[in-house]
Amino acid sequence: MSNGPLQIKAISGHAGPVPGLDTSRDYSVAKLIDVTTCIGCKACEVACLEWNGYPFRETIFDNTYQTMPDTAWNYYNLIRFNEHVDEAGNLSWLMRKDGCMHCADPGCLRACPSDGAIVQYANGIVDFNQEHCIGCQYCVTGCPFNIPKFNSETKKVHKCTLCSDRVGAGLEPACIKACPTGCLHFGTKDDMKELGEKRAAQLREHTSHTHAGVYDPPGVSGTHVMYVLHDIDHPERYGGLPKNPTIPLLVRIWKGPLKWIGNVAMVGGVLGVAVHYLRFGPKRAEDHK
Amino acid sequence: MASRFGTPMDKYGTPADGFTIVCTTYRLTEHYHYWTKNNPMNVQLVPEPFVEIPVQLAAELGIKGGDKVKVTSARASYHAKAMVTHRIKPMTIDGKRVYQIGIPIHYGYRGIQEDAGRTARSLTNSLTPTVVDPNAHTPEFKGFLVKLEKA
Repeated sequence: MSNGPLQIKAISGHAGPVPGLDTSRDYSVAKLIDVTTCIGCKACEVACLEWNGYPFRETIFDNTYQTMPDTAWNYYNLIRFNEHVDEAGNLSWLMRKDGCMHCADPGCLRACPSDGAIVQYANGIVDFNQEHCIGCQYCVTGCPFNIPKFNSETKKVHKCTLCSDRVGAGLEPACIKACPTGCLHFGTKDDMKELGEKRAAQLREHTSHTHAGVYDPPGVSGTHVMYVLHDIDHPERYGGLPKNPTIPLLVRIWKGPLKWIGNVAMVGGVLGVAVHYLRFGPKRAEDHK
Repeated sequence: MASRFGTPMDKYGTPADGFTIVCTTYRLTEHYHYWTKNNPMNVQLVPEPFVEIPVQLAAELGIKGGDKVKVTSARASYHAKAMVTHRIKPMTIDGKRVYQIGIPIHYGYRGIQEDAGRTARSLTNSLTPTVVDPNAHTPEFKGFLVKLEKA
């Protein structure tokens, strides 16, 4: 995926056209999480910790299989376990791998005031550069999925990088590599979307999950981490996955119109001072004797 | 067909003695037998031993999730925390309501949590009966009768 510039354009002494000259590559990447085949083994959690070099921690039993209540600055990836009993009394044990969704329209990036602290790569990965992070936590406010987590010691915010370091070298993310059931898939966004839709159609046709679907919410212009859900109408059953996630209105107003009004006011203020100076001249301290 | 040993420890509980709850034992995806209780990454994922109890039985006994419970079989007793769940449903057998509980086997005498004094040192297989397959001597640890109480 990183060898785009090395695509051959011309070949010396070669009869005929250059092979593969017309091919185009799709650089956008996506992770597809098929929650219907997740067994909740948490291998992805361990793989994430090991690849990112974070330490293991003490956890306490909390009446659930879930490792801990929420993700943390050094724990990007958490399987959420939920027991759902429907009206007919049927139980489903829902497991969802929670982590950054890598939105096409990232609320964290929109809200961030620091130059270069959050970047969105051409392949869709949204990444935090901690060396530019000023610790204001506006990204936490901007995220509709409650993903960025603050490290109060270093005053930096961290989240899943979609293993941008691995993906940049042509490898799949660590969690994908560790998954034993193949419920985690990685590829181009189009391929993953197609694979997800195929799996959802299979579920609708051959199982009782007649509302199965792919979670790729339009409110954030789609995500580069998608889910296949048993019931696309009720994503909230999977431990608080929002049905229609959007960037908070406050962030949109503040980073949209309010920003321009602020800029106009600031320029207006400077202009006003300049005009005042030209019209009335400098203000001098009165001479008190 | 099963073969049994004849030592004084080879006792079997009956409903008449108050052993009215069916117990089963199993493994978790996060652990491997008794080894991984010494490995921080596995211990982080599932830190403590627990007993899975149906919500209906927990309501009858006044047990809440996270409470310490004691499971007693004819042979020994086991201490762990309660995990109250919908996943194990009550059964109706011969017109009577029968409850089942489940215990993952992975904890026991020594390990990271046991050595730190955070969990009891009791072993799941001190509860289980010594019934084995007569040919291969594969133990039958999947079904036996116990009592359950708050500890």
